[in-house]
Amino acid sequence: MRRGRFLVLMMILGIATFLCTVNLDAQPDDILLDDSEVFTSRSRPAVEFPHLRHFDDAGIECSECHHRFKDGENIVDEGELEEGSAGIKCSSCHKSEAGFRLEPDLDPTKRTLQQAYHRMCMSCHRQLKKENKTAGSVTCGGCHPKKKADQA
Amino acid sequence: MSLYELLRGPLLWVAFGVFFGGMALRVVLFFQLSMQKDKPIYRFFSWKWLWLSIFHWVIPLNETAKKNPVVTLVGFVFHICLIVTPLFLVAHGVLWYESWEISWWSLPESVTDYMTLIAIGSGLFFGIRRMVSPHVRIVTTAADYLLLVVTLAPFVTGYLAYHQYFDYQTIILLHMFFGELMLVVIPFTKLSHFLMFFFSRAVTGMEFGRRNAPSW
Repeated sequence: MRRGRFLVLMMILGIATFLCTVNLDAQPDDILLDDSEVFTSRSRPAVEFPHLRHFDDAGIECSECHHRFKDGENIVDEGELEEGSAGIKCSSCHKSEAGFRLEPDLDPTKRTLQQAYHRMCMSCHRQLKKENKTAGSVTCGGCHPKKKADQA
Repeated sequence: MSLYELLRGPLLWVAFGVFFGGMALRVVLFFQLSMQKDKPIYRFFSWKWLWLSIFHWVIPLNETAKKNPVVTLVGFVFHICLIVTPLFLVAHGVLWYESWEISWWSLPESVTDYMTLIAIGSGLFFGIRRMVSPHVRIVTTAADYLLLVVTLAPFVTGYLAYHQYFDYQTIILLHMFFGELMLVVIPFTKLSHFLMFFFSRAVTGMEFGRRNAPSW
């Protein structure tokens, strides 16, 4: 009898763990912005982007960062934003040169991948800092720490 | 407002204002003074001698370069690193784009890293030269050493910031501060030679040129 209860408990725990993992898969926590196909001659370490913190702690809407511009309007479907889906990564459209279109009817990109990252992160962080709110880094070494890379 | 925002926003505008406004004033004062004290130069104004003089000094094609090849070489290397490094640094380029969406080409970071060291090293060479070379020593004042410190401080802090030595967040603020300090100091000191050099070389070139004696 006790053994049966133990098994049921283990099964519940197992399912719970599985569900948690599935959830984490859909919403990755930290993402290493490596993009080695674009940043071929990198002189600074890749940024570890705390993805989860941005919507869990900061409460930022998906579409504030994720975008698909058509005639200047962001038409991204938040329901389609899942890991591995087409165009989910910045580097899906932002390459080493600007002007890429993911689909023919979308606006071409205005920024390279590096410009897109810097603009997306720094402009928001600076704005929050100006409003005396908690914000991520605005300096080079704040996001590209040398020590971390040396340890890795 | 955070110290970073203060240094990146209002204080940077103050620094730019003093720098550009101050230099514009220096040019105006130069012409005003020359019109009062050196009227003949306008009668003997010559584009030919103006450009020839500037050319022979911008390129080391003069007697001084022949007499002091080492000082000339270090001087040229120093000035090239001083001007090129901050203008074509990747990290500065990122900030130009972030602020005004303008961009131009930049040098690899490993190259600018060495150029920073060369700027600091050759700057120290000129500091030591002031101390040990008798004919330079007698024309040296405390201000000359101070100006060298003001010139090298952005490079030393920039080097420390790039390598993230010591406390990075403090160093980067110091780097911004020293960069702005240098901009502010330039119009009021002999650092203004970055622009006034061309005017004084032009005048000297024309002055000697009207006697058909090259000033190089």
